[in-house]
Amino acid sequence: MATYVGKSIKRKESFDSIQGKNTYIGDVEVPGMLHAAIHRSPHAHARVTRVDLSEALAQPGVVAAMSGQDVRRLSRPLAPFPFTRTKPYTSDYPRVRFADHYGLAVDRVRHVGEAVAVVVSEDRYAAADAAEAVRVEYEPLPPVVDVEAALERGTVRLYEEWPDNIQYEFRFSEGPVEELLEEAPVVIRERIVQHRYTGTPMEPRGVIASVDQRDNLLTLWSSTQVPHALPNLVLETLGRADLKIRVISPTMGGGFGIKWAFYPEEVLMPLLSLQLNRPVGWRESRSEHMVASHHSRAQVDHVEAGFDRAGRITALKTHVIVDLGAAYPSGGTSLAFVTANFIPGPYRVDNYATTSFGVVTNKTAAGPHRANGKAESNFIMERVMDRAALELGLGKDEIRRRNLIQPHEFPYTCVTGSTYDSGDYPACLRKALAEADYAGLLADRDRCRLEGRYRGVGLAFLLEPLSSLRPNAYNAGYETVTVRVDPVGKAWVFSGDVNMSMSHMTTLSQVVADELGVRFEDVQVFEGDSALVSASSGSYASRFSTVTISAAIKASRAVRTKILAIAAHSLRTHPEALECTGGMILGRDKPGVALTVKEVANIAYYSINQLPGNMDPGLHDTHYFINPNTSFEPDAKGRTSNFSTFPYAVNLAYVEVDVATGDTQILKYLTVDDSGNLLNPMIVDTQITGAISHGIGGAFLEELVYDEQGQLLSGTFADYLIPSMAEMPDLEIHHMVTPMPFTPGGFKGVGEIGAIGPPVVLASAIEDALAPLGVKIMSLPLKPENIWRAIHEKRGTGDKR
Amino acid sequence: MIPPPFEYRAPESLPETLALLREHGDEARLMAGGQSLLPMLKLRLVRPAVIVDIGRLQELDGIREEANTVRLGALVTERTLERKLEQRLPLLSEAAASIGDIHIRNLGTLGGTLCQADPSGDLAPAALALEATLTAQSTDGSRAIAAHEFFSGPFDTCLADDEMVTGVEVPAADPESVRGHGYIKLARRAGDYAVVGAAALVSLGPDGSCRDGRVALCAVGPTAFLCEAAGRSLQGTRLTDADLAEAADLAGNEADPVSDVHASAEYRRAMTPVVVNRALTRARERARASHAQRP
Ligand SMILES: Cc1cc2nc3c(=O)[nH]c(=O)nc-3n(C[C@H](O)[C@H](O)[C@H](O)COP(=O)(O)OP(=O)(O)OC[C@H]3O[C@@H](n4cnc5c(N)ncnc54)[C@H](O)[C@@H]3O)c2cc1C
Repeated sequence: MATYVGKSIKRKESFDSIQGKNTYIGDVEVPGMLHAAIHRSPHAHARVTRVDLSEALAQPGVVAAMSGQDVRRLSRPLAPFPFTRTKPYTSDYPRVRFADHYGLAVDRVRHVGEAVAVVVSEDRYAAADAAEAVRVEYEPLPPVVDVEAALERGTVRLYEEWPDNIQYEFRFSEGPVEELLEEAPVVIRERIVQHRYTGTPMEPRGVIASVDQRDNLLTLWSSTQVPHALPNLVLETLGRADLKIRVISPTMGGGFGIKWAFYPEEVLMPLLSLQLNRPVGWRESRSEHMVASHHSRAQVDHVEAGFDRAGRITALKTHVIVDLGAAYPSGGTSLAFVTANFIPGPYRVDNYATTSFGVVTNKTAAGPHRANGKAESNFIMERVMDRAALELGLGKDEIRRRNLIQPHEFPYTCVTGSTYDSGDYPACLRKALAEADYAGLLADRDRCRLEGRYRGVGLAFLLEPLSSLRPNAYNAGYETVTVRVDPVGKAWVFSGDVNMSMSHMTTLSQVVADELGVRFEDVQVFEGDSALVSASSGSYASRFSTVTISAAIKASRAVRTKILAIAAHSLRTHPEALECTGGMILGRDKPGVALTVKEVANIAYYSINQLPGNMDPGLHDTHYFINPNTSFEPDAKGRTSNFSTFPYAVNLAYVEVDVATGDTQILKYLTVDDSGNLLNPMIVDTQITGAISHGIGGAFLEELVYDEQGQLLSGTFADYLIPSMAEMPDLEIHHMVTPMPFTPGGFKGVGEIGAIGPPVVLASAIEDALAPLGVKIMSLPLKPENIWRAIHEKRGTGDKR
Repeated sequence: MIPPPFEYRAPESLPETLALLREHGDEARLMAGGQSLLPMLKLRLVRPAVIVDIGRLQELDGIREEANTVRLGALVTERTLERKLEQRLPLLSEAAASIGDIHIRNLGTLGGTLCQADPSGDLAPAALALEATLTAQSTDGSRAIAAHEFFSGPFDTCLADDEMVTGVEVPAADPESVRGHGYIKLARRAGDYAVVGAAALVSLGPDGSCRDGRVALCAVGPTAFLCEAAGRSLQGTRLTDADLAEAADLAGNEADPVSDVHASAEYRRAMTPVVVNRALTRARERARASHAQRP
């Protein structure tokens, strides 16, 4: 019975965050802690010929300093991530190459900001001064900055042991794509450019290592989304089989995928702590974050799509070129895999061929970022749909309607092998058009056109594969939750996730309170510590409400079964005759409280003589919930199914473009989301709101700009612009509910889908507004200058209003 | 994000401050609101040996409104300009209101922003259009510097190492005419530095024709500057759309911008006449509205 689930219960987490009482990594003070500061490369590509630490070591307060050579002597190359080993696949494709990067660059730097030396001091300020006193001699090499140039024959290679700059390659082909494209009466051919931006959590990273020599216990605090992968990674990299490692990921000021990686500092601090036998900590500054924490999104795509006269897609061919930056273990290769697999999106595409490359360049490593690869795949397909609509003379709504997968087809195995779980796409589209008064907007647009004003309607159908897993990887695809009722009847929940401001405390409490039949206030949630549960894939890919919540439901049900069994035994009745709610056990037929959970707990722990025969004491259960609706085993076509669930949304935007400046004003932004059952509607809406603002930043403002020398030009918040309230339109958020059929709660996940929409739907709207000028939008960002340029190319300057 | 080491001084009086400047010369940096200085320190772009915090010099704070001039202390904050000068100097108020956000405007000062001499700073075009005069002092005494002579290059002024700005004087408007103003700033986000910023002032005589026009720009040259040709072209006209467009083109001809991550030089150049035209239009509409209300 749902007392709490489905209600907009206020966040438990808010009390601490509003009052500034959270303990973030920067608030962790370990007694006797030393402070590390890192000297970073000013070059994009160079040989490191000499590192002189003497001046740094002579600075007051400095305790130690290390160069890449020292680190190579003391440790191994950074262990691969997310793969658990360097030979992850048996088949030819996907094919991935690994590179030997250490905690510090050894003889070559491959991006501006790469760590070259580290100094350790008694004081953080002194450490920063000493890091500046490190003297490094570089021999600059030609930088490889442009991702397409990186693919040219004979170009400079980042890793000399590789034959080219391709780190990752994925190929897939199904059906006679070439023939169908040749026959198709309408073919859309485009080159699409998506720009580099990133997640910019308000809290940068931080790492502290502390060694207990007697117990060989290394405690590592890190603002990481993968606290359970890290012990493996650090052990392997240190080559120290004798150590035990506990990783604590304190309350996090945002992750967004940026903290889903294995970073050099996560091995440097343990190394220093082991050497110095003292705790050593490092806090990333914003300037460091912009060059040393991973970037995302940049790719160049070539797409060809054939349509028949009725507007149905007959064949699709894509070539995806992802700009990975340097090949650090950042998980960036998944960008190429996910993009290529899901370009067909919500549409029936039976014939599809793709080649996807992850290409290294002399830039900061790329990795996942909220809607990893999915923001990109949706952008490609939706641009194609808009162009095809124009070409065929169909409405944007009509072309989509003709291609959407139909409700009776679920579960639907898409062309690349994943199984879409559930949904009603046409209904979602219908609802969005109705809520927005689509026809009214079109009429208003046309009226404005007559007055010389440029308004346009954008439409986008978004599909988000989520809750991912991968064979032979740390994201093995399950989640672990322990539920315990203590001797006084309170519930304790231990999860493998991390608390990165996504309301896990609240939603887990709601679910566990309902399933156990206790009060919401009597549930306490713990996460972010590898000591809590044995293994976890981590917090990412909106998988919490799919797998963690499911594990919590299963574990709670096991504990409730035991509670009712003990109660029935003591009341001399059957468990089926009892129910448990609000911490009280009631007879289903007889009114009045028969027992309390507290009394049952007392029996379970203390009056164990009153337990039913053969029953062990205690009230607890640990459940490993495996990602449903997936398969590791390649099918007859060699395809695996790596995602559990597929929420979707229709976004609709109405904009006005100032054609003199290229500036866009959003007049309306509407979304209809289907993320399955809603755990907590308020939290769902705040996730959607946050994610849409994230996407609006990506659409208009956020851009990691590199010059030809590989220097990052937007390395501070004065240059890398994140949106503020003033840039946010009013949002209209609507829901559809198709419960996830393969999980006990029917929840899907909602952390990312909002971030996909803005670039897609705003490009669609701007293109529509500028349709009278014939402007085509095939690249991001949609910043005023780019839009102005597109207008300018079509009609020259002149408008000075 | 950690500044290099420095010595911190917080003098209690102007003479003490001037003595410190004389003693330390170019090794010292004044700190007013700190809103430009602190970011530069944290990025280690400047490394002064001594920071002289002038926040305690009450004699540099305050606005004095006289018949023919408004005297502004160097420490008057941007927020105060915005709120207290809406009537008397609405152009300065409007330009101040476009700076950063309220937190920044509560700390950033008139003297600090002019001395920072950021080519994209918003107050300089207003000061230029209003023909403001700055007062500079050192232990040797004081001198007056016209706004159009103050800026000598990007982030550079004509101040000597031991000199500081103590105040700014702005002459009152000609009582015979009505004045309209407009500050328009094209920026990436609300409160960002200008991609192009234009301050416009137009005065209408009793017959409604233009007595005086001023256009000043920021972000499109090494310093903010007054576009004299544009201003002159408006004199005696009826301020028709065509008149404004011509003035805007003249101003556009003087733009000599550089590229950065926010906008290319080409875009800035193209946007200059657009922004000037909009600033002039706003100024004209306001002047006409006041003119219509005149008895
Ligand atoms: C996030 C952010 C956004 C901003 N946006 C804008 C914007 O949109 N438009 C804009 O114009 N500005 C903007 N600013 C800058 C803001 O206006 C600053 O406050 C201003 O430029 C400097 O004023 P200050 O009083 O803080 O000076 P400080 O930072 O204290 O000093 C700046 C410089 O001037 C010198 N100085 C200060 N006072 C004097 C004096 N009396 N005599 C001689 N030298 C002196 C200092 O030594 C220093 O070199 C922004 C700042 C920030 C942090």
